Amino acid sequence: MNGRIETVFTLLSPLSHIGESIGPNSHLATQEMLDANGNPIEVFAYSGNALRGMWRDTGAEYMLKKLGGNMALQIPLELFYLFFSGGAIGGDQSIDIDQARRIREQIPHLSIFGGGVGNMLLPGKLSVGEALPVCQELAHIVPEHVPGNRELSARQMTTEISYSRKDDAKDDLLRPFLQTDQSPMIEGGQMSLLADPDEKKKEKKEKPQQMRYTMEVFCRGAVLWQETFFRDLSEIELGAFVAAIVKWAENPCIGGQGRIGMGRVKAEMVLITDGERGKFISVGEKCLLSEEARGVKAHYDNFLERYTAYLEENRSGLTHAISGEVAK
Amino acid sequence: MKPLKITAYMQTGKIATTDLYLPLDSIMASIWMHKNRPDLAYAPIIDYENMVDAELPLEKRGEGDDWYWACSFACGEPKKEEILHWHKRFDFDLGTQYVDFEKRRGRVDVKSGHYKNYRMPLVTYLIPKLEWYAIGDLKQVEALVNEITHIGKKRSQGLGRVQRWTVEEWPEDLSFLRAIPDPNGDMEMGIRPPYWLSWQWKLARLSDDGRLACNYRIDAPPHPNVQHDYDDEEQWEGDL
Repeated sequence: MNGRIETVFTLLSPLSHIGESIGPNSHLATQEMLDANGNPIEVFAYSGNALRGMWRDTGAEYMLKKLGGNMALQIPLELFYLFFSGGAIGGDQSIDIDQARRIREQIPHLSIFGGGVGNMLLPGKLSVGEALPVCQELAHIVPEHVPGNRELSARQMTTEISYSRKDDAKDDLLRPFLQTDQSPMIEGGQMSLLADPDEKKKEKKEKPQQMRYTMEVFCRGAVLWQETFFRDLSEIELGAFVAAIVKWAENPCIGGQGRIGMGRVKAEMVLITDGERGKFISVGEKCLLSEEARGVKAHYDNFLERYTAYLEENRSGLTHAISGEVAK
Repeated sequence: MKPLKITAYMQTGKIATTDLYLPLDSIMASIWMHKNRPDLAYAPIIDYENMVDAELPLEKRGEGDDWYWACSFACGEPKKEEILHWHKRFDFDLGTQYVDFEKRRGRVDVKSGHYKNYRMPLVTYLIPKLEWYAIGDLKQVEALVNEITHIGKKRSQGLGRVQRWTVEEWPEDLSFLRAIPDPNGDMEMGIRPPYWLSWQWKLARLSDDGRLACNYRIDAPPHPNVQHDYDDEEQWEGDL
């Protein structure tokens, strides 16, 4: 199956996606692009690599939770690195064509996101594009049907938010909890957990904890438009992608500073195959799947269930699937 | 087969490439493989002797093992060069949940070795459109290029997105704007897909025609035309 998925993200909270930091201030990542007249302009864009990495993580989590029967299945470090970060090329392991084919069949997650296995690069089947803001500068690129304000410049959609980091050691109410030379030392082995308390104190004096820092963010309410292309996907592989989105929809955030509630989004995904458009997934308060998305996800779930049964008999089945020792 | 001009209109104009050669016959060959030999499309090339060549709707030129497709390298005028960075990092939060260290110490070195974190520079160019000149069958070439959605490196991250293609007959044959095998050539180059395969690199010559994107020189931004007179005390202080 060839086609693409168009996603419209609406920011429900400010988005942080740092490109450059100067001292305590960070600025949004921008890229040079061409305006309607073909002249270079600098516009904010949310990186396709960031989206891809995020969906790769949630896809691997979904797979390991399913295979572990709702407990997280723990795997060797090298496999973890392959599933979550794409692995790296190197090592003694030599991969042949048949082995590459088997890996694709047995681990659809790896087949769609790709990775470095042994001495070979297993190409993925997805092209996850950057999310472009609907704004004046890119109005000629973003399709007409996408909502958003096309008359406002992307620069006008950014704002700066400042935060303070307080030094609690200077708080009179908290100070009684701070150990001083006069206060009694904690006895026993607990003190040995600190490398050198005296040195630490000196360091503290030298490095002030209190500071004010500022982040440039993309404003709440802004709309981003994004395309994900896929090629030669089987139903199970499309199901693996849907599963990654379903897992991501449990906490639908993009960008950094999620710990302080940034980057929360709602997303509308449309599937386009053979020129036909159809609603695919809607991520908001709930994650709503179209009939087609539900169908392919069910295929993937069935596949994972069968694989779970196989793993119960062969505890190191995943490792062997990669190394090619068994499962021929 | 007739002389053709093939144009790719880029979406944001961003293409990741270091040399700007971007041979279209190579991209068409990849699409041909996906359509006609899907069993080989994702497989590594191991058996060089029995390698399958794509059957492209282009004229074949050259003799013996020096054959190549009559299709130029990319022509166009890059507007700007920009270095982007992509990042790869080991996720410790997820690692604590999913890694089974067995009885070993759970330590991962991300500063060097297999699990090293990366901040990799990526050379990109801004180009509104790219043009290629070929001798081929218009309808079949059109069918193949319309399936190409991205050009260049890092297509997986959405770079090199093509908005639309046009293929038209062209009065002139400019397909020579490419690497032509020549025993007196001044460098070894790939002459047919896959271009990266050193096994089929040949001595070749590449035209220095200014229409080729790889020969285009982007004007450096003008230097600020400020005369510094450091005998002038006020300007000295201002500059400080």
